Amino acid sequence: MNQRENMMAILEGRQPDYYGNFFNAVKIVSDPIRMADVCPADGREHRDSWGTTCVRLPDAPGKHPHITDENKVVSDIERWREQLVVPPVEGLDWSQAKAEVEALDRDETFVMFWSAQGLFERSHFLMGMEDAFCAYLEEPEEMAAMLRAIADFKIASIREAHAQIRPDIVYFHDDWGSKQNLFLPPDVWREVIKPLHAEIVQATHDLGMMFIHHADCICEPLVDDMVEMGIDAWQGVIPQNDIVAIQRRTGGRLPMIGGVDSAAIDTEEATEEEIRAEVRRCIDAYCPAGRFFPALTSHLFHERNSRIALDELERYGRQWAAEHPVA
Amino acid sequence: MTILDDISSAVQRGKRKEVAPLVQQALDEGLDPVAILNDGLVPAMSVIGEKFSAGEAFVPEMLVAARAMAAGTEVLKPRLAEAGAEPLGKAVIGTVRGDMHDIGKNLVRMMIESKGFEVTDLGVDVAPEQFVTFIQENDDVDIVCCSALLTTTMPEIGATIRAIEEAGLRDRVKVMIGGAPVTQAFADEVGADAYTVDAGAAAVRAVELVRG
Repeated sequence: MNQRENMMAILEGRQPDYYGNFFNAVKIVSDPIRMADVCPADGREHRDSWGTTCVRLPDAPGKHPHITDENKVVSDIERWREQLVVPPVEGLDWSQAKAEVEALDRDETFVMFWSAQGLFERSHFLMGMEDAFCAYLEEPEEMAAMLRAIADFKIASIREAHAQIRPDIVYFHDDWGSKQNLFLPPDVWREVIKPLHAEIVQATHDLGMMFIHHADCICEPLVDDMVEMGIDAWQGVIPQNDIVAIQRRTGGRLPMIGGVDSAAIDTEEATEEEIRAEVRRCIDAYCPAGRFFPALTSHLFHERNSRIALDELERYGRQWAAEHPVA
Repeated sequence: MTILDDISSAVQRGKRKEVAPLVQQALDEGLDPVAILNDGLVPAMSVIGEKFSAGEAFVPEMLVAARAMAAGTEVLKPRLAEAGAEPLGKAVIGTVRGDMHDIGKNLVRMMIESKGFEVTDLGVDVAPEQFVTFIQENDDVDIVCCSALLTTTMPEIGATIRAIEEAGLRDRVKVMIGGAPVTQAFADEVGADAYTVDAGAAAVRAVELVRG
């Protein structure tokens, strides 16, 4: 099996040759929509394409919104229509992304269109966490109207990406919770976020692409909704979710990617054996149910730890696959 | 239902537009402002904090409740000052150097404030020397709260505590720490006085620390 076939075997519950590094099977290219929001790691303030002020500290894994009363894009949810300017989707330069795609063997590797900052994340990027959270409870209709505009952008960007580079997968980021719980009460999420998110998933499927949802947070209370929306796989699933219970509950209808407790093993003090043991725990605990791709749930900051964890995923993952054939 | 029950209910439901008039009504009826605070507003936030710790309440519900309480406290402030009411304690809070995450830190700030503390928020990416300078310039600070959300910035909590020790200020303050990767074992290792898993528990612990 090549990388693509092996990945699909895992996600579809068939016998893979091995379990290894999920990101070997996929390639994220430098599309102009995402690149417009890249923030240099210089510790200074930069505005993204929506006007959100972000900072990325040197050595930080990614950018972080740095929102104050003075710089927030939407300072009043009732005035979002006059305060928000949705960035353009058409007329962008796709030459870099196309060149990267052309350099790939697409029989071997999936092309992923990375759609960062989903509906929930963009809402708090525009308003700041506290204002956004309050608006979800106090002004749900206005919040839903603003999210409609964001969803329209997301759908348009997915269609544009399809027209330009024919991705295989839409890799959609929206962290709906923390490592302790969901951010929004589930009924609020279902009322405001879910219908629009379902439209985005459907638009992806209409174009023949897979929809992989990234959320390295608690989503356990929403897994039935994720199945209902047709999400093809949940990537970044952290073990603070009861993954075994989710597998029982969804009966394999929600393939998952992740399971390694990245935060627990990404310290300077973590020993090699501790890192390898956590990887083996993940494989032993979650692979038996099938449709589970053991993987790191987030980037490891310590290069040494990442090297050890990926080595164990490859080594023990291959051994486990050989010793546990899918019936 | 007494008016204090009404105030508590309105805070728990996050109805800030209801809380201020109710507090004013309670004052007009002759209730002691300290009683309105301690028997109406503070218990309401304790209920929310407990529900949050139990996973039954969510961040937005805690936020709207905290804002509702703040609306009520604003009405009370002049009367509390007249009555000579002092804050329960003083705290300073910040996310440590190299870390920009602020949601958890803000929640802890709000929950500690809701217990009657005066809290100064130093923001995010706060260097150890900024904490030290603040303590030096404010000799009535009781509690220092530090958070980190990244495994890479977690050691800055230890660096902050060491800086406070080296400045000869460690005996003057209690240090509380928290954040996703932080554990009790880590708290013990770096010599923190307290670690809690969430904002609701942090507020309860802060009260315990100042009451000895």
